[in-house]
Amino acid sequence: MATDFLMPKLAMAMNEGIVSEWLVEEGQYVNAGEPIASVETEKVSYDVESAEAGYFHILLPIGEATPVESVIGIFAVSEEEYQTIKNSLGDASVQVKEPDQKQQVKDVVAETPGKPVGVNAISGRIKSSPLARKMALDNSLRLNEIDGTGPGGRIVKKDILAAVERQSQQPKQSPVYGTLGAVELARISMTGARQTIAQRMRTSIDTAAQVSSSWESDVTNLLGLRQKYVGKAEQLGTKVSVNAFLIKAICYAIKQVPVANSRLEGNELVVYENVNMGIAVAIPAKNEYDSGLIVPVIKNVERMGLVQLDIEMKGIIQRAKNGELSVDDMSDSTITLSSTAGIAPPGMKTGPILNLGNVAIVGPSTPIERPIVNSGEIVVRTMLPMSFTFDHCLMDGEPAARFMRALHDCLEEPGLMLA
Amino acid sequence: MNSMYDLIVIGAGPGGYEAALYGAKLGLKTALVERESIGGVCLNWGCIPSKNLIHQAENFRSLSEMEAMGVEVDRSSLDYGLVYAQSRKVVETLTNGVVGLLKQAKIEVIKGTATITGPGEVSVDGEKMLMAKSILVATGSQPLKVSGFEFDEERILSSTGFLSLTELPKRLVILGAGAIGCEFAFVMNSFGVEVTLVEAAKHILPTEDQEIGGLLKRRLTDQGLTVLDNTTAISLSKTGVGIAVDIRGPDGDRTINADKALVVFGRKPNTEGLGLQEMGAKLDSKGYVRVRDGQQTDSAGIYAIGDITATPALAHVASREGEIAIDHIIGRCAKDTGVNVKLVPSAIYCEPQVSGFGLREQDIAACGFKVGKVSYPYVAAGKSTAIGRPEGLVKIFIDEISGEILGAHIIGQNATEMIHEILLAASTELLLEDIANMVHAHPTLSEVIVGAAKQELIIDKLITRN
Repeated sequence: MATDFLMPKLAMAMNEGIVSEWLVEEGQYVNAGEPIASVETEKVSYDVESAEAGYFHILLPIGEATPVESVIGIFAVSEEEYQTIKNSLGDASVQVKEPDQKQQVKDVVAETPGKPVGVNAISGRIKSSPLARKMALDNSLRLNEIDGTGPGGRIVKKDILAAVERQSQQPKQSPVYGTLGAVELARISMTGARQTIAQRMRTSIDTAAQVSSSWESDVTNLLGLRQKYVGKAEQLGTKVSVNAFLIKAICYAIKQVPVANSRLEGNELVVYENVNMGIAVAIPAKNEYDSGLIVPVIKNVERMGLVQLDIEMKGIIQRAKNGELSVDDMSDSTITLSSTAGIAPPGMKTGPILNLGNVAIVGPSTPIERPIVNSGEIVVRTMLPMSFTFDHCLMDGEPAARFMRALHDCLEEPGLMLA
Repeated sequence: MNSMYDLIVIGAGPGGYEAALYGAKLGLKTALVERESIGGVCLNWGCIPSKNLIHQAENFRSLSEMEAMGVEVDRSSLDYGLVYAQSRKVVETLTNGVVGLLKQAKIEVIKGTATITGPGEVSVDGEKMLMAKSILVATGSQPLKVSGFEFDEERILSSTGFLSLTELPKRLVILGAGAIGCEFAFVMNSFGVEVTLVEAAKHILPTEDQEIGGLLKRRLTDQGLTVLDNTTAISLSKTGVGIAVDIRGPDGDRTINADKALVVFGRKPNTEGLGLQEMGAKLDSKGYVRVRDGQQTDSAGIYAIGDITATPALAHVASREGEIAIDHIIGRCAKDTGVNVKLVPSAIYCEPQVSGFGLREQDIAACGFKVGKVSYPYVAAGKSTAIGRPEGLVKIFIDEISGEILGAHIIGQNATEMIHEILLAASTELLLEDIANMVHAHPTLSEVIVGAAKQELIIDKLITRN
C-alpha cells in the first residue's frame, strides 16, 4: 500500500508551504529519517525528514504553494506500484515550476541574447517552440512560469499570447529592463520569504504614522565597561557584545516610558510589563543576490543579566541563520532592535521601519570618534549614532523624546543599567 | 431490416473512407454508404487519374530530352486511348486497395443513396434502414453547373468528361484556370493539343499567391499555351463540328473556336436529398453545411466533413476533418477542433508545380502588421540546373516582429513535396533560422528553401550591424 506524503505543518501559524527543493530524485527509494524536501513557509525554510520508506513519487512542483496537510508526494512499496502510481497520477517532476535557482541563473546568463533555449530543469528541458521562445524573450516572460498547451505540453505561441494578456492585466510590480539592453544577472521571485518581508514592510508603512529621530550618544564609557567584560570572556562563557548593553539600556528606557514596550492588538494598545526584544537578523536568502531578514524574539530580557542575555541572543541568532527558528521564537516581540553596527559606515544614521505590531524600534549604527566639547575642553570621544522610530498613532512626541533621552542617558552612563 | 451501428458514414471519398477506417480502428461499428464508386471523386474522377495523366504528359514531354541525346522519336504513334486506359488502371488498383482496407477493418460497405430520415436513422435507396449513434456526412461535391455552359460531356466537358476522353481534341478551350484548369491545360498542351486557358480573375490560380499565378502564366505561355486572364466567358455555343466561346477581355470581345470546351468554374457541395436540413442542420450563405467544434452540424449526432463544408475543397482537408469528427464522436479530447485553413497546403501538379499555404502577396495590405518577405530562385541551387529545371521560386512570408512563418509559396519542380518542410516549420512554430541552420543535403532542390530562410538571417545581421 502506498503512503501519502503531506505538506507538514511546521508552525502553528503555517497555512501553506512551498517545496523549495526536493532532496530526493523522482522514483528514488527513500529511507525513513532521510531528508526528503526543503519546505519553505512565510517565515522559515526547513529540511523535512521522511517518516516513511519507499519509492518516492513527487507530486508538488518546486515553488508551488500548497495548503498544509495536502498530499505532495507518495511512497510506493514496490517499483511496480511506483510505476502504476506515476502513470496514473502524472509527474510533477517533468514540468518543474522553479528549477534550482542557481542553476537557473547560470542558464539565463549562459544564453546569448536572442537565442534562448528551454530552461534546464531538474528532470529535463521545458518544451517550447522556437517561436514561443522568441516571443517570451521579446516580452520578458519566463518559460518556467508558463503552462504549455501544445503537443506533449509544449509551450506554443498561444500560451505566450495568453501570458502576455495576463501580464498586461496585472499592475506592473517592478520595471522590466529586459528590453532596454540591460543584461540580467538573476531574477528573484517575489515569493516565500521575500514576499513576506515585502508585505510586512508595506503593511507597516501603510498602517503606522512612523516618525524617525536620530542623535548621537557618547559610548566611550560603555565601551570601556564592555572591555572589562571582554577581558573576562573565559570566565563568563561569552564575549559580551555591545548589543547586550544596548538591550539593557533599552530596558532602562522602557522603565521610564513603558508605552514604548507595547503591541497593538485590534483596537487596543497593550503595554507590557516584560520586555520581549525582537532583533532584526540578516539571514542568507535562497538566491545569492537576494538577502533575508528575520526577527527572532528574546523573551523577558529585563530579567536577564548581561551575560545570560548575550548567550541567549547569540543562540537565537545562530538558530535564525540555520533556519531552525520555531514560530514561538518569532512571536510576541514588544519592541525591536535593528542594528547595523559594524556594517554601516561610522556615523551613519538611519530611520528603520517599525517591525509590524510593535510601537517602537531602536536602530543603533556604527560608532564614530568625534571631537566633543566636555567641560570647556575638546576631547575625542566615541559616539554611537542612534535612531528611534515610533508610531505616532500610538505614541506622541513627548513620551518618545523622553524615551530617547532615557536611552541616551543610560548609554552615556552605563551604571544606570543597574537601576 | 434494421441494422444498428455506432457510426454511419455517407460518402466513400477520401473524407468518408478515411473517417470510416479511423472510426473502425478505434472500435466503432461502422457502415459506409456510397452511391457510386468507393474512393469518391478524388480516386475515380479527380486527383488520382489526373495525376496519372500528368505523369504521362511529363513523360511525353521529356521525349525532347531523349532527342537531345540523339534518340529518334516518332510522336505520331501516340495513342491517347492507351494513356486513358493507363489512368483507369491506376484508379482500379487504388480503388481495390481501399476496398481491401475497408474489408479488413470489417466496415460494412453499402451501395446506394443514403437519406437521413430521423435521429440516428439512415435509409438507403428508401429500402434498407440503418441505425447509428452518429452519422458522418461526407458527400463531397460535383462540378459547378452554370447556365449557358451546361455539360454534354461530348463537346462541353466537365472534369469528369475530360478524364473520360479516349481521344485528343485538336483544339481545346478551358474555362476557369483554377487548379483543375491549369493541370488539364498542361496535360493537353503536352500531348500537342492547342489549348486556350480563360480565367475571369486578374491572374490564373486565383486562390494562390498572385505573383506565383503570374509566374505560372509566363511558364505556360512559354510552353505554347494561350493564357487569357482577366477575361470573361460570356457565352458558349456549339458549332457544326465544335464549339465557340465569346469572351470579353482587356482587348475587347472576341470569339474563340475549338473542338471542345472544358468548363471548370468550380465545384458545388452535394447537400441535396440527404435530409440534412430536414434534420435541423443549417447551411451557410454559400450553401455549405455549417459546422462547429468537432465538425458537428446544427443537428445533434450529425457531423459533416470535406467539400460540403466551407473549408477548402481538398481531399487532405476532408481526411483530416474526418479524424477530427471521429475524435469528437468517441469523446477524445482532440487538440484541433477544426482544420486550420492557414496551415493547409495547396498543390497544383502542372509543370512547373505550384504549392503554398497561408498568407499571400495580395493579403499583405489588409494584414495590419508588418510582414517580411524572403524569396529565393531555383536557379541559385545547383540541382535545379543539373536536372534542367532551373525555373522556380520559393517565397516565405514572416511576421517582422516575432518571425512567425505566416505563409509560403513555391513554384517549380517538386514544389508539392517541398512545401511540407516549410509547413512543418510553420505548424510547429519553428523560425526561419531553424531551417537555415539545419544542414540540408547537397545538391537538392530543398536548398532553395534554405536559401530563402538564410535571406532573413542576412537581413537580420544587416539590421543588427546598423
